[in-house]
Amino acid sequence: MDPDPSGPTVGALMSSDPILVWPDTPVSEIAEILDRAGITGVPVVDWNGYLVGVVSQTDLLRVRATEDLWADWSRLNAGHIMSRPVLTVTVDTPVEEAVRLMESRRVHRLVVVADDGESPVGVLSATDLVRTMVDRAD
Amino acid sequence: MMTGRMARPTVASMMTISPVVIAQDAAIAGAAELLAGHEISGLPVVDADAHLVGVISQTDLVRLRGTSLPWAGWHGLLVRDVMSFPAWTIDSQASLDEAARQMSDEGINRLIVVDDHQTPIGVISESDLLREIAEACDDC
Repeated sequence: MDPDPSGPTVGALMSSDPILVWPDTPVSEIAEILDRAGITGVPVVDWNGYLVGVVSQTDLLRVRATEDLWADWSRLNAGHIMSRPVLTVTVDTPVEEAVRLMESRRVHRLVVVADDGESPVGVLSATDLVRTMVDRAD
Repeated sequence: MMTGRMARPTVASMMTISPVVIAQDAAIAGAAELLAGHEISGLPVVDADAHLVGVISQTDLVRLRGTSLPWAGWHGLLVRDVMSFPAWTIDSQASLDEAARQMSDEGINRLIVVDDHQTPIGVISESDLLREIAEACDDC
């Protein structure tokens, strides 16, 4: 399954076909999407499908915790609160390298982009990594 | 409405009650199994008397995974070697506003609710607050 002696790559662990939102998607809609899908963050793409940011639970929580932003909740959209630039990897990035990136930059997910460097094809999350630690324990 | 006054939503209203906990002397693989099996991002760590001593989260495991420690090496580790401590706690009667502020200010993803004996009785996480936000805004 894994002929590469240097170890598994991101493509083997990531969640494919991620849910995407646009910069003008309302934050209330994003809260519902995350809650319903049981995920912790979504990539934000422009109308060309190019990655422009990420909105995570933590970004939404920051709004909830900031009185002025919370008062404006119904008028906020992804473009207002998204984190950027986004840390990206490709399907060929070694998992070990991706883990070090997540750890050193203190993020819970990396967006996996196509060869063009801009189109999201997946998300690698802390959840995906912890799952592999269970498998390895067997 | 019984009182005619809007009740302030509390931590108790959204927290996970009787949360899954793990012993500080459990093997680290056991923590990974609990997190993955219950689809949660972190859990309270307790000592032999069921007192809260820390929290172990996905973040702690990713940090471990990112070290140069060989794969075989982390099998021998115990939860207490990897957990974050002390754990951040909050009163069950605190407001959700306060919980959100504390998590946001401290950059953490969950708070533990303990009883008078320091035994964990609840966990409130970012996901719980997200659920509250999503529900609160049904009529936005």
